[in-house]
Amino acid sequence: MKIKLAILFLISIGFRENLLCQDELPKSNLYSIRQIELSTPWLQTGNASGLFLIPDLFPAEIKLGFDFQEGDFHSIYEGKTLQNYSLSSRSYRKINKTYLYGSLNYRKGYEYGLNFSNLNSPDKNYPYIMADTIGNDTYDREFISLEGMISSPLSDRLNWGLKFGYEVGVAAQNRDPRPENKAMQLTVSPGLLYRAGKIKLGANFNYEYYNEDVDVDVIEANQQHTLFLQHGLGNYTYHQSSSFYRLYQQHQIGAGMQFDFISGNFSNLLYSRFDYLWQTVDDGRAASMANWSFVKNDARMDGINWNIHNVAILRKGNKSHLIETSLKIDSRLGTEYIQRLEKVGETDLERWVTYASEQKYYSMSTHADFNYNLMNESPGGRLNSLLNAGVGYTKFMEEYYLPNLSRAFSNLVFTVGWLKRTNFSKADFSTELKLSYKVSLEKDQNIDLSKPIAKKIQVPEFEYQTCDYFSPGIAFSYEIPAKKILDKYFIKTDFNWMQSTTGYYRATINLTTGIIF
Amino acid sequence: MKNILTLALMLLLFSCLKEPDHRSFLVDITVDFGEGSSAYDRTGAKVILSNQLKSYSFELNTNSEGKVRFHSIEPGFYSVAVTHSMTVGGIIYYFNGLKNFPVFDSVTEIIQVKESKASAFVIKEFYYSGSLTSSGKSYNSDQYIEIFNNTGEKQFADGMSVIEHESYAIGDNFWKNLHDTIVAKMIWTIPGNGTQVPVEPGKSIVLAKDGINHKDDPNGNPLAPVNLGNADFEFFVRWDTDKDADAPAVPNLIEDLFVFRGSDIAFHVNGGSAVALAKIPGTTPEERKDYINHHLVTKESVSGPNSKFYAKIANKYITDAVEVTWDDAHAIYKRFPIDLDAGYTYVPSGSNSGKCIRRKIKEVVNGRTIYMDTNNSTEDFLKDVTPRPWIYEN
Repeated sequence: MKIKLAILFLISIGFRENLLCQDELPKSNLYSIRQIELSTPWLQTGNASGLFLIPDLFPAEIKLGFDFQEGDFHSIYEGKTLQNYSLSSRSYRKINKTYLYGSLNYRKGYEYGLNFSNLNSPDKNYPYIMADTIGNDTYDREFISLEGMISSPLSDRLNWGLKFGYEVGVAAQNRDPRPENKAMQLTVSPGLLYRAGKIKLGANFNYEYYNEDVDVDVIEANQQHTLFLQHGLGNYTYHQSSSFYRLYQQHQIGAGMQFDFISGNFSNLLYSRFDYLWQTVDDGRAASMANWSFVKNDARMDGINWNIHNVAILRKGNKSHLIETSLKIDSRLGTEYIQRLEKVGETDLERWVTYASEQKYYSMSTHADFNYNLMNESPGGRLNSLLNAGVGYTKFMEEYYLPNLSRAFSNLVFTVGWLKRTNFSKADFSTELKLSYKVSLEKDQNIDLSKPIAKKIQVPEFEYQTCDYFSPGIAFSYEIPAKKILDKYFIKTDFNWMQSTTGYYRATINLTTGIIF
Repeated sequence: MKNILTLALMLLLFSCLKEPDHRSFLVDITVDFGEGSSAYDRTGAKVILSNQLKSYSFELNTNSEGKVRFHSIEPGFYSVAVTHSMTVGGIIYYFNGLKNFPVFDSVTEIIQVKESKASAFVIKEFYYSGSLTSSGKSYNSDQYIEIFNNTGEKQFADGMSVIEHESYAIGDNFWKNLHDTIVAKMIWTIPGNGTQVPVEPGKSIVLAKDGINHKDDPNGNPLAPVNLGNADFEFFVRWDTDKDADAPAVPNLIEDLFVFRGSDIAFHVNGGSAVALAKIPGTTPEERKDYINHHLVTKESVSGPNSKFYAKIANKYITDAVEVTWDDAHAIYKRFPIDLDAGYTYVPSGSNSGKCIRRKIKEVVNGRTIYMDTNNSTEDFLKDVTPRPWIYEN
């Protein structure tokens, strides 16, 4: 495993040797990758064929990271304390006319004080979340993810590209009933980009597959626990057993289109993406036993994700003004299966017999963003300062039919940030100040409070989602030049504080250190 | 072509944005009280419609025509239970009805109710789930049944039999086509000639699996919820060797039938044992045995050629019955007919939980507790309560 990991790291950064011959290139620094992402909005589109549009910075970095979050202001599906250790690398390179990007991330994490989730990432499965009511669990996670992009010309006007991502890992809880979650996500996205004068047109196809296998065990002998299989807005069925099996599978297909216009110092990229997804939730259980011999279809979720973005960039000397606007609409339609365990056939085997399927759940999330960035670069192309300000609007509504239940809220989030880099002798010191403020605009909830899950999960989650908060943050980094083939050593610390108007807080500390070359 | 593509794109975009296409139905229930019932009789019967998959229910009372209408019912499998009572000449008559049906369209159902009277002896508590030892092992020697005199007069319990139904409710009741009898795999009777085991009004007797102080006894379990050292009777399985320890201070019940005879009796810790009290014909053990031997039925064994013989006991001899199931999902395998028990009950915490089912208190008259006995266990019993034999307060 360690050898494989080392090989993957070498692959993701190993092409630097060729790049070093290009003496005319500026030295990389801690913010080179962020600079590339800001100045190349094509990278946000998911169409990898636009990778060749990045500026002539080819940074590579290897870093160690430590994240720590603590505090009571969190989703009900999240633990009170999160602790992650990571080792990651990423780099851009160019070989002849082919542009490449690769990243590898290994993460080991602990989530403490988790009460109501048996899933690795509940947001992927909402509302079909499985939970027990034995609290104060700890999730131990180990994940590895790979991401890569390649872009190469097919002709003078046409480029092709391919983006892929792969993440796999295991998460396990330490207390009965203890789930072991094996999760995997695969993304493949081929794309094309056509250039004609001031115009660029792009199109890409996207396929994603997500799989989470949950195996819940009760280690203590002769003990059974109740698992609540939620169906949204406090509705659930339950299963009492000493074991349980659940399988989530999600397929997502979609496509994106891009239109880029450049005139002098002005460029404008308009892009949109549409995805259709379907997720199935299957349980392995009989009436009060758990076994994959009895496959029960619990639910199916269909959904669409649609977004449209526009990024306008105006370059004046060393300054770049970036204006981003976006609209994102996600909808979900949940279907439940009406099944009964019956003896079938001549052998009297028990099977879940499907009598009907009913569409019961619906949600729609609308998110609109407006962001302004002012990037100031040195004549050598080094990022000197970055100012950003933005406002985001979110509206979420969900409904469950029979009994008719509903919930809706909307809010605004204002953000502002300022990054300044200062050169002290040969070292670089940077400071970043951040501030965000969330204000709830409207909230309305109609749920059945006589149901225990509604009281224990839905109500506190709604309060979290609709609570106003104020969040200041500050980050410092220090970079010193390295010798020989390396450009910089760096250390960075990032601190954020969220203070809700209800008196809860959440603190986040992030420490990273590594090398850039 | 362009317009078609645009239209197709719009259809795709909005196909998932529409709200769910959910269905709801009307369920009309007419309660059949039989010929000669008056509008007064028909009014006010409680009708409970329960979704068997999701464990929720709706409740309405009948109008003067004995009808109710449930609106906006989601598709699924339902049971409807009817309970009603009326007092005529100082005697309380109970009416119970039960029916299971699917709802995948609007439904009109007629529910027939059957009349029953309250019993003198009722099962007050049934503790079957067992407990856990400190080392995590399952312990069920502390199981018991408590029988309560629910009348204002002294009653005699000798000759009263405790019956366990043949089925554990994990599949269809093999005997469901027998309407006037139930089939037992275990019958144990309180010894005596009918005048030897008096039970005062508002008092009870406890039939223990093992009549020891389970909390202190070296063979007990300190984590057991009960001390049964003072039990009135115990289930003792007599063997030449001491497979089942006999508690000397506790008299033994008479073993009339024990089909799966093992070292000791055990009620199903998950809730498979449906139990009843019966007064089987015969004043002596021999006469009772004779009745049982003349009412044996057999069922082919699925595991081999050894067919077992069970006893049919006519419903008219059953004085109280409690339909205990594993959970709501297993209620479809109900065994007792509705004139014996129109409902069902269980311990939701499951096996080894140290919890039991206990009859609800109807009222307290001059210090005497009267327990609810509508012949509907769903209505009559509290679930998941801590065992408290010989205690009659709330």
